[in-house]
Amino acid sequence: MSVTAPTFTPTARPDHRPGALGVARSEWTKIRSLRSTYWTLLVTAGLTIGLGSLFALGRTSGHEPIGPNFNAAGFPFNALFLSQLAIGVLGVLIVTAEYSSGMIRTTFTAVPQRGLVLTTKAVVFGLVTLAIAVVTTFVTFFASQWILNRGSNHLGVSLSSPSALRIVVGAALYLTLCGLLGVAMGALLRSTPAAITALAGALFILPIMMNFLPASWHRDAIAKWLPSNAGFQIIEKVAQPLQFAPWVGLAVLAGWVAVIFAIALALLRRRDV
Amino acid sequence: MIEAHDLTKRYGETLAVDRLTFSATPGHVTGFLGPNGAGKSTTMRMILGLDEPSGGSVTVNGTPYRHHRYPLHEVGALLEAKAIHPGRSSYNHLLAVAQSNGFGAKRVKQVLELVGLEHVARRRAGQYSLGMGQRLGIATALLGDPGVLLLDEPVNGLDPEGIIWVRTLLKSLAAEGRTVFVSSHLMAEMALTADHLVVIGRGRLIADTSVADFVSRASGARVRVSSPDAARLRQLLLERSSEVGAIEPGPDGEAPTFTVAGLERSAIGDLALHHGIAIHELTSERASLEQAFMELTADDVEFRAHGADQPDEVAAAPVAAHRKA
Repeated sequence: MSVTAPTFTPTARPDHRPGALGVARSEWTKIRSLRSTYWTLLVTAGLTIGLGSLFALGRTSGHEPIGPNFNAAGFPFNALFLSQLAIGVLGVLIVTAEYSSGMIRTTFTAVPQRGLVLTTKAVVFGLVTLAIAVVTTFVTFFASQWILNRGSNHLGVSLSSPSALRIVVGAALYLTLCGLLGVAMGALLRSTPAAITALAGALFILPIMMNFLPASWHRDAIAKWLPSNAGFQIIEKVAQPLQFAPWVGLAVLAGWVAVIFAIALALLRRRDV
Repeated sequence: MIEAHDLTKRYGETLAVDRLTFSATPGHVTGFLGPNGAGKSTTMRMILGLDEPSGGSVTVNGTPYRHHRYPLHEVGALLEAKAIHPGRSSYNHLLAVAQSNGFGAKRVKQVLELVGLEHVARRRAGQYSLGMGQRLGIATALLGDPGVLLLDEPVNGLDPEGIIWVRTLLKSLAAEGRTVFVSSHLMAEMALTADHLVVIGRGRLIADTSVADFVSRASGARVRVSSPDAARLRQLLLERSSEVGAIEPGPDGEAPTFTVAGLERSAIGDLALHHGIAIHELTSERASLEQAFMELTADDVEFRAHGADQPDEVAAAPVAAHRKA
C-alpha cells in the first residue's frame, strides 16, 4: 500500500452533456432494438384494422337491422376492445422487462434521476405508439368505410361527416393511453405477470363484472368511471345515456393513467432497486 | 476512492449491513470478501445509490453517488452478469447505456474491442454464454472510462483464460490509478488479484487489511509430522509447544500423523534425531487465504469473543479507522 499510485486521468470524454435528451436517445435505442416492439405494434395495428374491417363486413351482410343512428365511423373501432390489450402489454413490458432482466440497476446507475428515466421512457413510448396508432386508426377508418359503401350499401361516411374525425383521432389517443396505462402499471408493480393481470383486470374484467352487480348499488354511476368504459365514449357519435361525453370520457381515462403514473413515480423515488 | 462510514442497512428485524466502515483507495485492487448473505451485494447497491442506507453514509470521490453529474464517468459497475434484455444485442445494450450519459457509438466500439466481443456485438444477448455475459458486464462498467470500478463477482462463469484476462485487466486498471473494488467468493483468486481486503461476515467488518496480513492473522503456520513413534514424539513436543494436535491414524498403513504450531520444521527434525525417533513426513501447512477466510467468517460471533482477549486480533475496526485517517 506504500507505493504511490499514479493519478488517474480519463481518456474518453462524453460527446454530449447528460440530461433529458441523452436519456431520450437511450430510451429510443432500447425501444427500437427489440424485435418484440415491432411484433407487438404489428399485432396492435393488425387487430385494429382486421377486426374493424370484419365488423364492417358483418354490418353489410343484411342480417342485422341498421337504424338511422348507426355509428358508421365509430362502430369498427370496437376492435380496440382487443387491440388495447396488445398495446397495453407492450407498455407493461418496456418497464417490467428491465426489472426481470436486472437491466434496471444498470439504467438507474447510469442515470440516478429515476423519475426522469421513467417519464422519458413514457414520453418516448407514447410518441412511438401515437404515431403507429394514428396510421392504424386512419387505415381502419378508410378500410371499414370502403366496406360499408360496397355494392348497394351506402352505410359508410366520409371523414368530414360530423364527429368522424374526432372518432378516428380519438381512437388513436385511446390506444396510446392504454399503452401508457401499461407503462404506469408496470412501473407500479414491477412484475410482468402482476402488471398484465392488473391491466387486463382494469380494461376487461372490471367492466364485465360490473354487469353482475345489483343495479341498486349505483352500478351505472360507478361503471362509467372505469378506464375502458370512460375511454370508449370517444368512438360514440353522440353522448350516450348514463355515460360521459366523448372527450370527458377520454379525459377520465387520461386521469387514471396520470394518477397511477404519479403513484408509481412517488414509489420509484423511495423504493430500493 | 470509495468511503463508507457506519454504513447500515436494515430489512425489518434483520441487519443486512451493520455499521460498516471501510475505504477503497485509488491505485489498488480492493477485494471485498464475505460468505453468501454477508451483505456484499447490498453494500454495493448502497454505494451506487440503488438502495437507501438505513444509517451511515457512503461516498464515491467524496460525493454521494446520486449527486454525480456524469455517473458513468465517475463509477463503472458490474452487479450481475447478463443483466441485459435477452432480445437485445450487446451493441444496442451498450449504446443505450452510453447515450444516457452523453457517450456515443465510438466509445461503444472501443469497449467492445477492449473486452473482445466485437465479433458477436450484433448477436442477441440471450444467446451469450455466462462468460460472454461477464465480458459484456465489464464492457458496460468501462463505458464511461471511470476512475472507480465496482465489480460483483466478475470472474464467475469465466473459463481459465477469461479469469486470467480479468485478473490482468483489474491489475492494469488499478495501475492506471483507478480505484478497483471487486467482490468475490473465490479467495484464491483474490490472493492473486487484490492488494487489499475488506472482509465482512453477517454485515459486519471482520478485517480491513492487506492480503498478506490477513493470511498470517489466521491460524498461522502449522507443521504436519508423521512418525511410526508418533505418541512419544508428541509427548516430547508438548513440552515445547502448547499447540500440538491429536494423533490421527495414517492412511493405508502409513505412520500416524499430528500437527504442531509454533515450532519450525528444523527444530522438530533435530528433536526427533536427538531422541532416535524416525520421521516419515515433515511438511509446512501454511494457511491459505481460503482457510483464513473460512476460519474468520465461519462464525464471526465466536471470532469476536475469541478476539476480545487477544488484542492483536481485534484490530479490524481500529485498523479501518486508522486507514481512513
